[in-house]
Amino acid sequence: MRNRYAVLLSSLVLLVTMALLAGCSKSDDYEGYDESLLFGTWYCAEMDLYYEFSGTHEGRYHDAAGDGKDFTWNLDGDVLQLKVHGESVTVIVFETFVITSLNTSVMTCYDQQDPSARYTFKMQ
Amino acid sequence: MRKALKVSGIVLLTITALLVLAAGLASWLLLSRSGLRKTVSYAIEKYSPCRAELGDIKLSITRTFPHIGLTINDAVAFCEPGTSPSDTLASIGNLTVQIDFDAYRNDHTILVEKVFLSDVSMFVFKDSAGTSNLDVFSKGDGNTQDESAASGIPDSLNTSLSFDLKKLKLDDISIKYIDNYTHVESAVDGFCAELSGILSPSLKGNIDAVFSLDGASLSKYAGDSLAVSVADLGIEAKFDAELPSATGTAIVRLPSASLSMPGLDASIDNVQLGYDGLCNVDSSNLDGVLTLSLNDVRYACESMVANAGNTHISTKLSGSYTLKDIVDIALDGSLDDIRLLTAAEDSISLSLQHLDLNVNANGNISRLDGSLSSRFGLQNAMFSKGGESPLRATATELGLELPCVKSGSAIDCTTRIYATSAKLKVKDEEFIQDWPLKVSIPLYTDTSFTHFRTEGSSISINGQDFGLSALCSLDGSSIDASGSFSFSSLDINTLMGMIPASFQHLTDGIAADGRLSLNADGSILYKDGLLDIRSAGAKVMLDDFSGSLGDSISGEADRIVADIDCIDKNRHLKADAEISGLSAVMDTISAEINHLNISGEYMASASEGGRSRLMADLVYDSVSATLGDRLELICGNTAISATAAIDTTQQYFLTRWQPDMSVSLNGLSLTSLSVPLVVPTLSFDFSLGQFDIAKSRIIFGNSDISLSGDIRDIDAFIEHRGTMEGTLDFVSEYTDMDELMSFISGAGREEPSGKSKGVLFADTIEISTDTLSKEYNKREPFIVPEGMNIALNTSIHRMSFNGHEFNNLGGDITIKDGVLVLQELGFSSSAARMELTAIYRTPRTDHLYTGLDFHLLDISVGELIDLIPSVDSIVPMLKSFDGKAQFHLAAETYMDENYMPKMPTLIGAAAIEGKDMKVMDNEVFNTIKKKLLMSRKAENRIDSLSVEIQVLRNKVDLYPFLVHLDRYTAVIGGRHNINKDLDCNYHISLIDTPLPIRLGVNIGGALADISQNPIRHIKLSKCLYDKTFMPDRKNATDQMILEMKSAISETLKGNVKSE
Repeated sequence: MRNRYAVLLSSLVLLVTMALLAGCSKSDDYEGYDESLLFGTWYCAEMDLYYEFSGTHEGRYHDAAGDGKDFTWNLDGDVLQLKVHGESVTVIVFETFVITSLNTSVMTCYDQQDPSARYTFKMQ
Repeated sequence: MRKALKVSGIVLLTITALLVLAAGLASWLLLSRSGLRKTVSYAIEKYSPCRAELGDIKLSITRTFPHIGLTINDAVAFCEPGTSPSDTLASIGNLTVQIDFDAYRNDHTILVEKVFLSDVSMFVFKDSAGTSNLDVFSKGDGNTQDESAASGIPDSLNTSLSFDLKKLKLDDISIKYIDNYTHVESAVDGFCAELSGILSPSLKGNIDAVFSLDGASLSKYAGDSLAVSVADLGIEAKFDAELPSATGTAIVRLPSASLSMPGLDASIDNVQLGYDGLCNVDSSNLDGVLTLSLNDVRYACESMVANAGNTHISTKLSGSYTLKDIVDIALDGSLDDIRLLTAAEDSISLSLQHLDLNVNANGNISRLDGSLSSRFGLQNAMFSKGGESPLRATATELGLELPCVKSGSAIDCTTRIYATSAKLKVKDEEFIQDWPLKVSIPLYTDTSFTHFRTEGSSISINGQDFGLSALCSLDGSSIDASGSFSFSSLDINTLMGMIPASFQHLTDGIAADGRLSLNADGSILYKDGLLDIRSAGAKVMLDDFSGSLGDSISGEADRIVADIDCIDKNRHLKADAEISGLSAVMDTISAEINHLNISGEYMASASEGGRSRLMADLVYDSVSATLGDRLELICGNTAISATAAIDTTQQYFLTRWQPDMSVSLNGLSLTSLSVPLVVPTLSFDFSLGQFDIAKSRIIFGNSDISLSGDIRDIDAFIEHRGTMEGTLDFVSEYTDMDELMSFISGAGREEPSGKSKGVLFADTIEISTDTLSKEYNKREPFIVPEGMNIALNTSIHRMSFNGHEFNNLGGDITIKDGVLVLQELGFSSSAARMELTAIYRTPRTDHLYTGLDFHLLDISVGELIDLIPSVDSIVPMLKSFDGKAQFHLAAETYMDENYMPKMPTLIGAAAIEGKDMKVMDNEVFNTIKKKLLMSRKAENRIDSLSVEIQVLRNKVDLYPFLVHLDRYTAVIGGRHNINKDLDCNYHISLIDTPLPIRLGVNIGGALADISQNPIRHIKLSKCLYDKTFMPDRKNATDQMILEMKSAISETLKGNVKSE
């Protein structure tokens, strides 16, 4: 009887472990988007910011007062990476969005660093 | 015997009777009435210029007894035959003359010895053409001899007239004069005169003369009418004459006299004028005493009424009464009750109860040389003036001395005035209050009165003495004057008491004591209505001075000397002040300065539009000041030399003044602050061209700082036409940064209570912190000026900060083109080497840029956390490590005017790299490593640590980093949000353990909640970073993360300059 419980417990631990191991895997599936859809000015209500994307892969985000930063951007599949440079100090930071949907008027995405942070951009 | 006497008497009587009878018969024969008439008629016809009718002519013996005289009664003289022959010129009631009959009998000469004339009425008339009835006396005397010859008068009657007058008596003489030419009428009534002595041919011997007049009048009845009258005039004279000189007395008495003309009435009573002494007619000399006394002089005109009471003047005269030669006059006199009142709007009233005169004059009138000494003593004198500013001056005793000497063209005149008690009121306000007064003004001038000079003049008022010397020349409309004014050791307290009450309010609350001395001189030229001050100077000395202003300010000084000098007509003004010591107290503030010397110089522009110059030098030995018992300032020997060239055409303050100054300061200390300040030495030269700090040493608390260098082209910067360049060297042996930051921390920031916190002196100065806070809160942010290129080269040997000590700190701080840069500020400490570059730009007051590039090299993790505590919040597991690390940080943002970051502009990145780092204490690690199924050889060290953090707006991202310890490998990453809850979301992937499982753990929630209950916020999850650091298994996302980490790290490390 004890052996049966031990086997059962071992099997359960194995299943849980397998399940956990399975949870540690990541799906690499994603959709590729046409970067031209990004050209223009978008407004993100969650961040209350305007994002401008140009065809030269340059852009700028700013608030309603115009305060913001310039960046260069790159769209690789569904990953939109913004590289923000310092004006006078040599420093770079990144802002990476994973796009979940994109069309000419609306873009939905989440923050790669914090997937719980989800945003909706609307073309202006 | 008796018979003989009787016979003798009879004989004598008979002889006498026969003689008298013989004389009478002879007189009868010689002087019969008809003979007398003929003789008199002939004499009149011969000697009288006018026709005369004679009344009764007879011999008289009564009036001429014992001599026989000739009496003519009722004689009438007529006017010129050709004009009005019937008009009476004069009527003579009685004329009796005593004639020497021997002379007549022997020489046919009518020798008159005595004359008695009475009841005479004389009428003198002048017509409108100016022809007078007296003109007959000026015609044809030379024709009388021929006319007599032609008239056929016998030679027996041809006589001559001569005088040997011994007595002249006139009685009741009346003269009336009418002048239609000048419209003057005059009358003399009751004129009587009696002279006795040897009167002719010239006065000789004892002469008695008595004149009297019932009345006399003179009136002008046309044009400016005039009426003058005198009554009861009497003149008595007794003198011994030996012509041309006479010695004796003369007294003139005039009971009353009056003068009247339109708008003017004058009268005088009881005049008595006497003279006793010598008079020489030929030389016109007088040598005697003239006395004058009178009562009640009254003078009234439209504008003035004047009265004088009893007057007595006694004068000793010596010299020519024609004033042509040397005269000596000694005059003593007195006047009582003198009053004068003008009727003008600004009426002037003058009254004197008593006036004593004493005048001595000696001079040569012809040469106009001489001396005059006059003294006036006034009792109860009063002078008042009406009008808008009524004035009243009184003096109980007032003396005036006026000695004058004239020699050639030089005149020396000294005026002395003294009063025992003088008062002056203006508008009922007492300006002089019963003060003794002394004035002495020696004045030297010349007869042209164009040059005046006074030396040694003195004025004493209420015991305060003033001196004056002056030189003045007049030339037409120009005045050239120079002079000096001085006083010595005046009592300031007394002077302030002499300030009129109406001005006392200006000194309310001011109390001063001490002694004031002044020497002032100057020269001016007044020409064509313009005043040119060519030079002026003054030296003012205050000794033993003490003063106070209200209850709050007081000061004392042993000696204050100020020397002010206006040198030339270019208005070159120079002033020097020397203060031996001065102490002052204001409320709880007290200050003391020793041996202060100030000198200033002002040179006005010589031409319009030119530059005026100001120069000042200030030197003092020491200054000390205290603020209650909390703050104390002491400063040693200090010298400041400054000049300014005033250019009024310039727009800006500094360029308008063009300052150029040199400052040398020693031994300044400021204690009782939160941090004591000592400046052992500071010297600099400042001008708009160059600001050169030669040397300075500042000890601020524990810090020892030296600043030197120069700044150039300040004027170009001010005028926006160029760049201000400069290089300053900041050298410090030791700098306590904690102390400095603590001192300036919070300056201007307001605490919730509304009180200012951390204001530099807030702990020590009890002033309105509310006010101060408002001022600071209004303060605009620091704006980096443009147009300057200033570099501050720092060299700090030792610096302590946050409990650490750093060595050899050096770098540049520059301000250039509106940018403040802390350039490669590097230093080393026992814990690390450090580099710092910071940038501050201010495009707008509400748009301030700041950037930071900061590197800590070879720092221990513990000290890193000590230096930058916020690192512990972002990477809390970092404190579990021990060992050397590198920390790199770069960030930039724009800020608003309150220095709050504008979040959309905030970016930053940090990288921490460590190698061979100890995880925990050996003993602890050995205890737990078995429980964690670690190997026996396991050490509490990790090979490497590479942490990258970025800040983007309000998101702080911790990029996944790998930690490997023995059999365990974990990857940690996540986000920290800068929001109200400071919530975070971290993930730990445990990717290698002794167990065949991989665990993921999420830690998320508000930071405060996590701290309170960590377990509730830890959740199992799938491993997010299980392949990130596996080169063979990582995906594109992992690759991107690693590339971002690498880019951030390499970028930051690329900024390190010392490697």
